[in-house]
Amino acid sequence: MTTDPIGIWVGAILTLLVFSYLLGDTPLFRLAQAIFVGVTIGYAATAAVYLVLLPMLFDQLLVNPVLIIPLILGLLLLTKLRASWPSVGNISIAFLFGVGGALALGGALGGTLLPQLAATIVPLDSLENIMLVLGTIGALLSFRFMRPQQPRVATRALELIGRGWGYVGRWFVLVAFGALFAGTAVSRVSILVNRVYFLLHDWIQVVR
Amino acid sequence: MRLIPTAIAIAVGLVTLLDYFYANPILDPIGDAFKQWTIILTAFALILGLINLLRVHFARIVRRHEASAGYSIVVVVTAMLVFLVGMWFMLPSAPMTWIFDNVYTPLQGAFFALVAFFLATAAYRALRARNFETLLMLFAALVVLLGQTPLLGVLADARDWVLNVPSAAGVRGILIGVALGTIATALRFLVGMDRPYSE
Repeated sequence: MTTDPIGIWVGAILTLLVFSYLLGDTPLFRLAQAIFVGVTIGYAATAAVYLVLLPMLFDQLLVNPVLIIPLILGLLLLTKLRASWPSVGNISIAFLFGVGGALALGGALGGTLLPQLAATIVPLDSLENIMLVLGTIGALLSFRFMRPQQPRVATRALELIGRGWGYVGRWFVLVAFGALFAGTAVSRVSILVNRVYFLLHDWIQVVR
Repeated sequence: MRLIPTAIAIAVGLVTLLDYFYANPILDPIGDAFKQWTIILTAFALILGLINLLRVHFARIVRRHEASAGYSIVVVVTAMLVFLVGMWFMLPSAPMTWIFDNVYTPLQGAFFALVAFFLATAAYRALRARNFETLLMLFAALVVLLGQTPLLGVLADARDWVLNVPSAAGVRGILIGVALGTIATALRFLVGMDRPYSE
């Protein structure tokens, strides 16, 4: 929390500019939006330079000449600024997609899929565990939008079971959405309380 | 020209994937270097995006008849100002911390807080109990919300049950679906079936 009086005034005025949206899409709100976008651009660019480009690239270029490769790839990427230039920047994009795809695959497999499957393999000895397993499979089945071209009798029976299970699974998804909605609402209201407290306590000091 | 990016994406992707799953003295340094280069390239990509955003706003300023030209001036001036302060004083510095604490954080907090009002109106519209499914969602939201209030402590157990059983099953189903989708999409990149970088 800041104790600088100028900082408190700046923060309070900006907060009020944003809250002016409650009266409608006012010019004051759009001004706050513009300031926010500008500050974010400036800060992100500074962070990119000081947290990545300088320590990981330019400061080590003489020590590790191989880093000339990402430098060239980065400069090729910047050619994307001109639509008329040949698509040499695609090489850099391809590199990003290659590494990103591999890391996403490994992360999804080892970080999400296997742990979630392992957590779902539980003994079916209580109502909670049975609901957990049936609900998880049902929720997954509820996202199935394909239908066999020419269903045979056996596949049609499976299809009916899957559709029915998925229909019930949709209820679990909706309960999850409701819980997530409530969680989001609570976090946003907490932030609202924090902002109002800042205005009343730090700025006009009517709350001690 | 399409062949080279595709070959690079497949080769780099396979090496990174092998390095992810196997510890190998030859693959490890190559995989680490690829990851480091990706971070550097991401920074270049970020700068590319920011420059492009500024170009859009410059274009609006040049075409002065647009109603939003004034706001574009604010965007460009603020961005330049913060960037110049950052370049001059460096990032872990008192002026940049002041900007972060007194400009960025209040704005971000206020924008997030504003969502609370929209959530209230959205909740009124979406959660009106019209059918069984909406009722279910409304019930879950109410139990989780009221279960957090100290006045209704009896609902705390119900909230825990909702969060740990039906909600956990729903979220788990979604997460598994998302992971399967991610794996399928990544595999399509890695075998060259999808080539968004060649467009």
